[in-house]
Formats: sequence, structure tokens, C-alpha cells
Amino acid sequence: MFRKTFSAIILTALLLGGSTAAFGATPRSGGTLKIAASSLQSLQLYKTAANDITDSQSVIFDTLFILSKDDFKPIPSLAEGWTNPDPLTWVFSIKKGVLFHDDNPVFPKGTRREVTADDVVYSIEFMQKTSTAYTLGPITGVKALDRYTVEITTKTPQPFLVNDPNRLCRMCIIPKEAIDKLGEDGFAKHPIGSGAYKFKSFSPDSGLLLVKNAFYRLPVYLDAVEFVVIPDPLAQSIALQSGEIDVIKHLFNLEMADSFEKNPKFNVVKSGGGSYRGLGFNTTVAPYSSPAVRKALSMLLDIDTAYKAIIGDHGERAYGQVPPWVPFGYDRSLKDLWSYDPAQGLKILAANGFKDQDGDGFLDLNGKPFKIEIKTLAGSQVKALTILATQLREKGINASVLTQDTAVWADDLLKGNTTVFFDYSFAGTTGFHSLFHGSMIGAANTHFYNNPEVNKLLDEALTKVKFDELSSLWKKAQRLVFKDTVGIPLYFEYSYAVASKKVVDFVPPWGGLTLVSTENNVWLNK
Amino acid sequence: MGKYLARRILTTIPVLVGISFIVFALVSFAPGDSISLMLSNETVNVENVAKLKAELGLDRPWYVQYVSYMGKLVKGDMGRSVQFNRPVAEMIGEKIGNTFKLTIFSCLVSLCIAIPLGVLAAARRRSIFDYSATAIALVGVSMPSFYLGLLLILFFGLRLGWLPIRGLPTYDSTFLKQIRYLILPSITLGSSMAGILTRLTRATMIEALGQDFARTARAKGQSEMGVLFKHAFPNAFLPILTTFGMQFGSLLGGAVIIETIFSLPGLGMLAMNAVKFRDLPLIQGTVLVFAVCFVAVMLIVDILYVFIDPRIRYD
Amino acid sequence: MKKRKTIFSGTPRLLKVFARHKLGIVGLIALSAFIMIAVFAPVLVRFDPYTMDLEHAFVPAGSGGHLLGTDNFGRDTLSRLAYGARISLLIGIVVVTLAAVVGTILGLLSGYYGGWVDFTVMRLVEVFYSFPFLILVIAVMAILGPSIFNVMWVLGLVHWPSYARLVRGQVLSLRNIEYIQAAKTTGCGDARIIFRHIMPNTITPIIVQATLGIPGAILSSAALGFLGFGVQQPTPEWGSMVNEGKDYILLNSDMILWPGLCIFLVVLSFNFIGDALRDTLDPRLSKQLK
Repeated sequence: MFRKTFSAIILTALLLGGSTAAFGATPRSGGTLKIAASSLQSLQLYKTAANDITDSQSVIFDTLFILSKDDFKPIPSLAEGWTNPDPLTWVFSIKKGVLFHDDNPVFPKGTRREVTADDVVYSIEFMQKTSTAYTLGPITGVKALDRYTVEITTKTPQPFLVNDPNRLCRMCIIPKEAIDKLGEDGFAKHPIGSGAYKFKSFSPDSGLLLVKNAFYRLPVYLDAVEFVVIPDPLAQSIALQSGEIDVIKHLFNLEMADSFEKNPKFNVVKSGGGSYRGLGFNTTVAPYSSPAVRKALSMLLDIDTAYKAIIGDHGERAYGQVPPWVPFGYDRSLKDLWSYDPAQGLKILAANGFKDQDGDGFLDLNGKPFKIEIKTLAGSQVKALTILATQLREKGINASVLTQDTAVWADDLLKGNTTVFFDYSFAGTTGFHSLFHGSMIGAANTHFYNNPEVNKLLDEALTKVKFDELSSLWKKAQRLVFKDTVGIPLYFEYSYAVASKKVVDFVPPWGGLTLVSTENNVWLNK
Repeated sequence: MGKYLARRILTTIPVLVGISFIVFALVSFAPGDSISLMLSNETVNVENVAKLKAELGLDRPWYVQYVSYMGKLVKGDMGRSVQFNRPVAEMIGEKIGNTFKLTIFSCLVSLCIAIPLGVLAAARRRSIFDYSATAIALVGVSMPSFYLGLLLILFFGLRLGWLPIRGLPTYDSTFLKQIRYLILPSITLGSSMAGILTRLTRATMIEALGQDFARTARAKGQSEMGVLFKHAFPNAFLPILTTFGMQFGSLLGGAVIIETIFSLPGLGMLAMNAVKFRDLPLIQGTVLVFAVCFVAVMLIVDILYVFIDPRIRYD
Repeated sequence: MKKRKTIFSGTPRLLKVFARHKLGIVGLIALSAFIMIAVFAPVLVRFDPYTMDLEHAFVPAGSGGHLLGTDNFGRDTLSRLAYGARISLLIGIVVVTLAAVVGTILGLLSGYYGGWVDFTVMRLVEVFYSFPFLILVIAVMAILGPSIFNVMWVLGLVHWPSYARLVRGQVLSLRNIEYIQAAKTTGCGDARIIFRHIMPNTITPIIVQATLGIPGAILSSAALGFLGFGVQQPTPEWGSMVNEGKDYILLNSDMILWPGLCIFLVVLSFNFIGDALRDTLDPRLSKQLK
């Protein structure tokens, strides 16, 4: 008996000693964390998907859940948990004793206004009514079952409701009184939520200051969080180096990642997520309407060389559209669909009417000069696309990259005034569906691709709320799409945050910026 | 005098109307618009965007929208930004201070360089001052502003670390701190104007110094300094003033580049982003503000001209 | 009748005066060098300006046959600068020609006919003058798409007002001169008067204005290239080369130094020549160039 207790004591001591050794210093309170933002024009909810705005909002407001930093699966935040009594119903139970911020024009200092199910219902309805940048999907009803339980019913099963970074994940809990008293415009000038930090002051496109919410349900270490607006990525890097700011939450110039990694004063934190970069074809325009031609063109591209020259090991080759950080559908086996085989590619093209008839060194199609103009947005992908265009030129295809103004690019894509273009999608869960489902023609399906088999697989997948069932269907659809070479996946670009060494526990944003949670809690080690 | 003023002000109205019309037509006929840009976003809420379109009256023909916009404008309503759903006047109000600070500071820097240098060059012909004034002037006029800006950033900001390379410090800073941040951008923006004004000052001063009244003053025993400042400079002043007014316009135009390089959130960047997003009310608002500023400066210059030299009359 | 004095009479004397302007000569020599490089670029350079050599990116000046090194894609900097000269010079000349032609015609009409024609043209001039030029250009480029042609005519559109004003001023002062009146009374047609009597006298200031306008056009097109509008990659244009190099400024500042220097030197040369020209042709002319 003595032995058992003794062992227990030793074990506990070891565990405690081990754990403190593993976790290092204990968090210290105090300090202001300065985060760089590229642009911060307005704090209105749901009008724009711009990351800087949504990131700062996710610090001020609570959401029902956040995405785990390890696998992007949803973990409880304001909600304690949720269940599906049936595929069309979601029941969320929320934590008790959560308070809205006080000491503002709506709740005087000392007010204890608890967040209830009614607030959640109001917030969801507010989002449905006013949101242009985000959609929750087909929700038929929201109601409060009791003070701390909310029920959401949907028209069709919605597996992405809680698994996508851009759906319910973006829904911020707001107090009805604030909207009533301040109006939407006024609320945007002084947002009130229940998050870890509360609003102090805002100077549009200059800076945003948030201060500690002492009544937050988890310990909050920082005194204040300041978003400093620095539009130019180079200026952001310089400001970080000089100590003017502490964190760059998204490093735009991947070229800088290496030099920051070598610098002992900074930590480069790799985000779990990133972006998808690919080429898309307008499948209604000849000769891109022929899968054989599309496949042949893909064989002429040495994608590995191209992307590695631009981002090195800050990314990986993409063989499909679904990225590795999406918890279903990622399929490495798609590798067998792609090969760099210029000889074979040129042979197929020759068999399809491509021949250099005017002797200018470039292939002509059926006697007429043939040009490929890859339409793209400005951005880091332009360099990779330039290399690919040069590769095509070397193989005898007159290719060039046309960097378009955003609005023109979007307009051209929507109207089908394209041939080959940069395929842009959020690398979240719904991306694949948006890009390739027949019903999305006229919206995100800018390939004008309508394959009944693919549509059927995707429709069925969307009825499955469980991921493993969804995953196999998703993979089958993906294989069909890329066998047809509707698009050519190029690479996934990783996302990085850079923080000075004194910033502890910073997690790059995904579906919102999380400074305080059960998984991480940012503090400054001065 | 009053009649001239009134006539002068009245002629600015068709100009401003013309500008707003051109902008409106340009953006309306452009490929791409703010709504389709919103729709290209994968996560978009299609229903609400359609509602927004109807709310803002964007489904009406462009000439109807134009008349409606002008009608509201006369009452002082500049509309709401499509992208941010905020009143345009408010957004411009936030940014205009920055652009003003930059522009005024640049003008000051230019004048402080140009006038002393030009006067000195004219007073000491063929001296080191004269040649360096001409050299500096030519460099200022020939140097592309973005190049100069990048060079200044490279040397003073990065290599030497003396001056900050951003246009503005964080928002709660003192006036003195802000000036420090404005030094590099102002030199960059003002360099071209400094060059032009230096040469002009030198040329007009040389001419004025050679005139009869100058010779008379010298004969009467005026010191060289006296001749310079009491007689020559007032005569040289007018052309300098006119040119300054004209150059002010290009200064405003060049502000966009400076704001881009130095991360200065001002009207120029606001306008560029508005163009990018086809945010018509915001584009209209910023363009009109620019145009009004320019026209106002020209007006002031013209009026000062008349006051200073009563011999001149608008033909 | 006395032999009409044209601007070409007295040329040998003018050339002698010009030759005394040391800076003007320097400018002429430098500009000729650039023009030679631009015209003979394909023959002069060793490397193709478009060929990428990813293994040899950021090679320092002098190594591997690359006199000025390579850029981030491994393309030879010197070749790109040489080809860039073609574009900048071409744009400068075309823009100014376009602006001068349009401006002169409108200025002639406006000054000669007066009345409503004058009023409309002058209001148009003011509209274009008051437009924050860069914004107009950006808007048009964004809308029409970036291409060398669009750059040329948009910039031409921005610059014609100064020629119109200049010519109009000239016409107004010449309109009442005796021989014009005489020509009118003898029944000379308007067109004849305008083109044979008035216009030749306006050519000198137009030429000077044009010489000084070319550097402005080159600077504007470089600014457009820098902002990302204007001539697109991979076509080498000095302004867009600076834009590309901006991303790498902390790693390698060469990429922005060379193209910017080229712009500066070409513009400076033009300004030297323009100054010398202005002083040579008529010292009193400088007053009329407002």
C-alpha cells in the first residue's frame, strides 16, 4: 500500500516535472501584440471575405466553434458541442456564463449580459439577412430550444456546415441591442462581441486597437492587440525586422521565408493550410473542348521544375484540386494521371491538327496561327505561369501570360471569354464542388464543365454527413474530372506566418484568427 | 473684379460635370463590374448580392444611374461604396488628410529647395551655385519618381536606417513623428516640381535682374540683396506662382505612385482600389475630389494673379 | 514680295549656337547611343531577353557572359535593357506625335475660329488638364487591358492639351497680323490661311514642346509599367522591370537599379537637348511655352 502511494507520488512528480519541462516557461501577462494587416477599411460583418477584416473580427467576436490547428476539424468554442439527431438537423448546446463585452455605448461598465441561445438565433438570422460575402447554405429554420440550446434545420444534408472554414465558422455572435441602438453602420464603427479582446479604437486603413476582455471564459494574457495597416508586403517585412510589428500573419513574399528562417530572432510558423494553384480550361471552346488536346498540353509542362523554381519547398506538387489539409478527398494516387512527356504530347497534338505550317517555329492549328493566352490575376502565381508559358514556347506553342485587372479577369471568366486561365479557388472544402459541378456553371464553374456522372457523385456525397463515406465519393469524382483534364493542378502553396521570438503560441489564421482557445493562447515573452 | 471671379467659378462647373460624366461612362462600359466581382467569389451569398444590386439601383440603365447620382450629389450625398457599404464621403474624409499632408509637405520641400537655389543661381551667375542649381534641377525633372523613391528607401531606409520607409506611423502618434515619416515621400514627390521651379526661378530672376528697374535701383545705391528681394523677386514671383499652380495638378496625380511605394493610405490608393473593384460611387467621389482640388488651386492662382498684377485681365 | 523667312533659314548659324551648348551636345551623344542600341538590339546582344535560365538566377554582373548579370528568372539584364530601350523610345515618340497632331489641329481651329469652337475646345482642355491624370490612365488601362497600343493612345490623350493651348496662343497672336488680313481680303480660303500662313510659324514652339514632351511620355509609360499597367511581362519594359525587381529589393537591388538608371539617363538626355534647343531657336520663346 505504501509502495502504491509512493509510486503514485513519483509518477505524478515525474509527470509534472516532465510537463513543465516540455511546456517551458509559464505564460506571462502583459504587453501589446502588434499584427500587420494589408488593409482594414471597415469592420462591417459579412461584406467582404478579405482576410484582414475577418481575422480581426474573429478576435472580437465568438463563434460557435473554431477549426483545430492540427487537422482543421471543428472544435468547440462558444458551443460546448453539437449533434445530428437526423441528417437535416443540428443541435448546438452553448456554454453557460459567457458574457458580452461591457464598457461600451451599449453595455455600460459593469453590465453582465450573458450570451444565450436567443443571441445565437439572432446572429444566424442577421448573417442570413445581411451577408453578401458568405453563405450558410440552405437553412430552413433556426430556433432556440432552451436558454442554452439552438436547433438549425437544413433543406438538404449539409456536411460542410461545420467543416468548411467559410460557413458557420464565420458566424459571429452579436447582441441584438447593439444593432438596434447603433444601427449596422454604427455597429461597424464600434463592434461588440464576446471574444477574448474587445474593441477600443479604429482608424480605417491605419490601425485597430483591441484590449483585453477580463471576463473571457479562458485566461487572456495580452493587454492589447493592435492591427497595424501596412499595405506593402516589403514594408511589412521591414517593419517586422525593425520591431515595429511583432507578427506577419500571412507572408506574401515566400522569398522572404528563407531569410526569416535563418534569422534567430524570428519564428516562421507554417500554417496547416495554403492555396491551390492550377490551370483551368474553358471546355466549350475549341480546341480545348477536346480532352485529348487538353491532356496533350498537360504533357508539355514540366510542373515540378516550374513551381520549385518559384517557391522551392514552400509548397508541394498538386495532382488533384483537393488539398492535403482538407479532411477528406485528398488523393495522392492521382499522380498516375500526370506525366511530363513532351514527345508524346506533341504527337497527340500533331494528330489533332497542330502543325507548323508557316515556319515561324510555332504550331498552327488547321492552318491558322495558334496562340495560348493564359489569363490570370496579379499575384505570386504569375511567376510560375510565366515559366510554364516559356516552357510551352520552347516546345513550339506560342503561349503568353496575360495579367488582368481583377474585375476584368472575373468578368471574362464568368462570361466564358477565356480559353486557358488561372484556376482560383479557396482551398477549403467546397472548392472542388464549386469548380466542377454542373450546377455551378455561371458562377464558380468557369470551365463550363457538365459531366452527369461527376454531378451524380458529388450530389450523393453531399448527402453524407460522415466524412469517410463522403471521401470515397469525392475521390471518385475528382479522378473523373482530372482524367478528362478539365484543369491542370499545378501546386499547393503553403502559407506562413512570421513572428518575433518573443511571441509565444501564435497560430496562423485559418477560418479566422485564434489568439485564445483551448489549443493555443498567445502571450509575449519579453 | 467680382464679375471676373463669378465667371471664372462658373466655367469650372461644366468642367467638373464633364469629368464626372466621362468617369461614369468609362466605368459603366468597362468589362467587369462590382457585382460580378462579388459573384466570382466562391463563398458568395448569391441572393443577398442580388438584393444589394437592386438596393443600389445597379440594375437600371447607366444614364438613369448617372442622373440619379448627380441629383444626389447636388444635395451633398456622394453615395455609398459598393464594396464596403460605407458612405463615400466618410471614406474620403478619412484619407484626404493623409494626401493633403503629403502634398503640402511636398510643396513646402519643393519651394524651400527651388526658390533659394534659383535666387542664388541668378545672383551668382556661372558660379558653383549656378551650375549645381541647374544640375539639381535637371536631375529632379529627369528622375522617375518611383525610382527615386525606391533609391531613397534603399539607402536611407534600409542601408543606413536613418529614416522610416513607411508614409505614416501608427495612428496614435505625435505631429513631429509624422513629419519624420513624411520626409522621404515628400522629397520623392516634390523632386520633379523642385526641378521645374528651380529652373524657372533662376530664369525669371536672371531676366528680372537684367531689366531697367533693377539697373535703376542699383544706380540709386540699392544693395545687391535689396535689388534681389525688393525689386527682382516680386517680378519673378508671378510666373513662379502660375507654374506652381499648374504643377500642383501633376503632384496630385503623382501621389498615387508615392502612396503605393511608401504604404501611405491616401486618396490615390483609395482611388486605385476603387478602380480595381469597379466601385463606381467611390471612383466618382475620389476623382471629383481630385478634380475639385486641382481646379480650386488653379482658381486661387488666377485670382492671386489678378490681385497682384492689376494690368492683367482675362481675355 | 520679300522671300518668306522660314525656320530653316539661318540653319548653319543655329547649328553653331547649338554647338556651344555643351550639355546639349552631351545629351545628343547619349541619346544617339541609346537609339543605336535600341535599333540594333537584336544584333548587339548575346542573349535572348526572354530566355529563362532558372539555374543561373541573380548571377552577379560580369560572370557567365552576362555583362550586367541576370534577373530572378535568369534572363540576361543587358539584353532586356536593350530591348526595353526600343519600347520606351517608341512609346515616347508615338505619344508625342499623336498629342502634337491632335493638339495642333484643335489649337489651330480653336484659335482661328474662336466663338463656340474655341469655347468647347478650351473646356475640353480644362477637363483633360484637371483630370488626375494617373487615375484616368489607370482606369482606361484597367478597362481596356494592358498593351503597348493602349499605353500609347491613352498617354497621347493626356498630353494633347498643352499643344492645343500653345498653338491657340500662337494663332491668336498671329491672327491679326497684316499679311493674314491681306490674305483674307484677297479671298484666301480658311484652310489655306491656316496651313500655309499660320501653321509654319507655330512649328518651332511645337518642336521644342515635343522635345520636352518625349521625356514626360517616357516617364509616364515607365510609371504605368511600374504600377503594373502598361506593357506586360515578359516583354521587357524598363518600368515593369523596376516593378519586378521591387519584390527582391532586400535580396538583390540590381534588378531595380539598372532599368531605373536607363530611364533617368534617356530622360536626362532629352532634357539636355530640349534646353539647348530652346535657347538656340529663340531665347524669347521660353516665355511662350506656358
